[in-house]
Amino acid sequence: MKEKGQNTEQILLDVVRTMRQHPEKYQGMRRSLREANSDEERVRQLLNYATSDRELASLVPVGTGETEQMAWTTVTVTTVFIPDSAY
Amino acid sequence: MPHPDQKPTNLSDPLRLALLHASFRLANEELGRRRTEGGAEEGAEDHELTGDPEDSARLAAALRRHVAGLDLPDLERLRSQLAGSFLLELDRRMAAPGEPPGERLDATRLLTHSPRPAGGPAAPRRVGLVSLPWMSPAMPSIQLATLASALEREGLAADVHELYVDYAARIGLNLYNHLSNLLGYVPEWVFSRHYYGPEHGDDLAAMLAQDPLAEIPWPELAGVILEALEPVTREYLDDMVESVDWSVYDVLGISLTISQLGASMAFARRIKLRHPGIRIVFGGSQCAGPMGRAVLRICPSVDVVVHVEGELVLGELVRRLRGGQSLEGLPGVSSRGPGGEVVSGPPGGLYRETRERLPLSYDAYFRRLIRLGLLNKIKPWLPFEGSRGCWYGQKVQCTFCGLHEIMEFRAWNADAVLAELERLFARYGIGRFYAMDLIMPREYLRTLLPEVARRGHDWMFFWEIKANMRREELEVLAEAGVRWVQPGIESLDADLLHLMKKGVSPLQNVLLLKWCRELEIFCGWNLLFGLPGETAASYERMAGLIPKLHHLRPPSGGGRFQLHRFSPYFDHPEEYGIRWTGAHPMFQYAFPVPKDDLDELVYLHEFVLDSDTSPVDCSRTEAAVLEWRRAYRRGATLGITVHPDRTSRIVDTRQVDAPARVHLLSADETALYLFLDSGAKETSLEQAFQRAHPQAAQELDRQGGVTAVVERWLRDDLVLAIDGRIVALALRSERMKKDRSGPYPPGVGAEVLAEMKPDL
Repeated sequence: MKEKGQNTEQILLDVVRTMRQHPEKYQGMRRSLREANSDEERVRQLLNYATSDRELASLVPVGTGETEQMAWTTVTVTTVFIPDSAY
Repeated sequence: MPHPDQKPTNLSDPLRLALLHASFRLANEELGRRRTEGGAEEGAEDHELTGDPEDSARLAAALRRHVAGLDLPDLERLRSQLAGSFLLELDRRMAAPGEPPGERLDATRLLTHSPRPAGGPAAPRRVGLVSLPWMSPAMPSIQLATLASALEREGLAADVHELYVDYAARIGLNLYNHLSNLLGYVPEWVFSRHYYGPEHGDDLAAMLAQDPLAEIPWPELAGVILEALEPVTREYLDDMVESVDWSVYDVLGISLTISQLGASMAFARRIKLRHPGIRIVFGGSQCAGPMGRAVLRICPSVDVVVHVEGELVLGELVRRLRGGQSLEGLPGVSSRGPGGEVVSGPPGGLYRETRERLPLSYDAYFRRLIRLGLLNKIKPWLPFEGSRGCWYGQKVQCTFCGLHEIMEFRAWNADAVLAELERLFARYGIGRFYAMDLIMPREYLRTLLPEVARRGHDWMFFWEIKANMRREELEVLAEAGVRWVQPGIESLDADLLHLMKKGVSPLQNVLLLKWCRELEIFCGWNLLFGLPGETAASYERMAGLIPKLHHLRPPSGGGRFQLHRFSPYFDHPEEYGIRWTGAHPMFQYAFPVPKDDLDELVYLHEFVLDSDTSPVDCSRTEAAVLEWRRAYRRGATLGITVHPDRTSRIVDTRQVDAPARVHLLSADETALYLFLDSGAKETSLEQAFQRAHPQAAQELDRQGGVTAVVERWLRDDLVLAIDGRIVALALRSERMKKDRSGPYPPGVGAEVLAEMKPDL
């Protein structure tokens, strides 16, 4: 994921490079792509991989300490609580 | 708190996210093309490539062929599936591994008793109470629980449906949380496009042109996020209508606070189409005053609006609806007259029963968590009320504060509140309590909180407080388990605080931050800019002050003040050099209604300042705040350790890129430094210290006098001259909480903290 307006080829290029950079992590995927008979089959495998069931992540935002996590997990309604990124 | 140099760990798989991003976009584009041009198209052309092209070009072409070859229903299904997976993968990117903090819920009691309303013609009529996004999924709705209890007291059966939890589970809890914290028009628009879409077309392009998600961590994904929310939200709304047997209800009460209008309208419309006989009642703060009447004008799916606190009128309202009676004369209620015109009853009163609490049940919420498999994904807070209204605001309203006619302060009896908390704790086994109070009742410092501590409850509270608390009062809070407060600090400059009519001084704000840090109370606060009448001098002063405060918690957020309906700035703009220009213009995308209606509908408004009150440049203060945050994250500290012989050592790492500075204080100097903990009047400091510590004062006199010592400390920024007082800035290590300080973050300050730790 880079700059705005990336086209499909660029994103898929990232996908291919990510698989090459992390061969062990994506070993199974690489093998099945290699063994596929056509690009159409490879696309179906990629789509299956992307949409397969994943466990819902817990409500634990990255980059926060315990108390801040508590603060982030609720929304205060009387005062607009402006996030860090407002700066 | 992670070290900023550490790479953030999250659960996301970059490969999946990229694949979902690309394939959803392709499916979305193909669907858009089919809708305008019709018919499938084989072999769309490839775009220009950059870099290493072979594999990706072939895959992209194959992906295009795959998408283009699907028939319309399959394409829609794929788009929807990709959208849902993309949002959940994005959510994983926002999430950290591990479990959220807090105790695990004991759900066994809830599972044994799970009544479901029985349908059929002979079944008694019931009231359905509903809350839609964007309430926090980490809390049940106290609004619905209160209304259900009020109806039950009047013999009317009701069920609670916290439908916002389901939506959070669909798009991911962290992403939901992030979106719900955005300014209102974005979360409103996510749903209102499912109300207006068919009639008004889709304003996605116009909305995107305004860059509504400019603040998200991945702006390059903003457009895809908004597009992916469309099918997921549509499916959610459809499922919510289908998954519950709404026919058992003859009245649906929908509770609306911030950012819930779009979702509530879209849901109400679907319900009316499916169950035309159900009467739909909107209520809550979104319906206060003219906003509620505007809702009735723009949304024919809504039958009645309640402008006031619901427990006052909902029972009578339901009885009249069931009896076919007119609603005329019902206080605080608006409905439509025979000609479709909006008819309002007389103004409603306030709920003033403060001796006993209506019992709250959060069973429905917890059953929903169980059903959705969220019990281990969220550690909920239990909301409760200690009071309504604001005891400060009923005397002096802060100029930006948008509380309406509920300002009159009403505090519940402490015994009744404690009994309720104990009952909730016994039922759910959760001791994390979120006070809905706009401001903590002062008397709770003498009644409720000491009693909570005395009974040994190991609970945790959130509370909004006024910032003028004394040290001993904050100790009462800490002892009772108040670990998170939201004080109305808003600024560190006297002139700005005066303009806001905050009723606190910069000294009080600094003291609060210092003592909260010592007591390990998390302090969430904002720094407001851009007030009418402000001058550059205020920001120059703050920019000079902030580097001295790097060891205290920086503001959680900040920005130009917002013009809220019902605030003095809104009600009397001319007094402040403000020219109101109408509803915030971004709401026109969420609610494409005539301007007059929009101006009455929303809470957030647009304005310009008169030329002589134009905001000044505050960039130096903003830069100082950024540096403050960076330093704090890296462990900036200023701590004093008093040794057994009463000498002391102050270690200063507030400037985190510089070596630590160490100051050794004699016993007499230590006595003076500790004397300045709450601040002492500059003009009478010597005399006051002489009275309090005659021997130490005498000794210091021999070494050049108190004034000379203080001047040295001022040069070293160990003390602060503020509001005519001198105040010690260092945190006292012996007073810092022992059991609540987690592992210290690595970084420059860590060594020093580790050195101090044996004394902690």
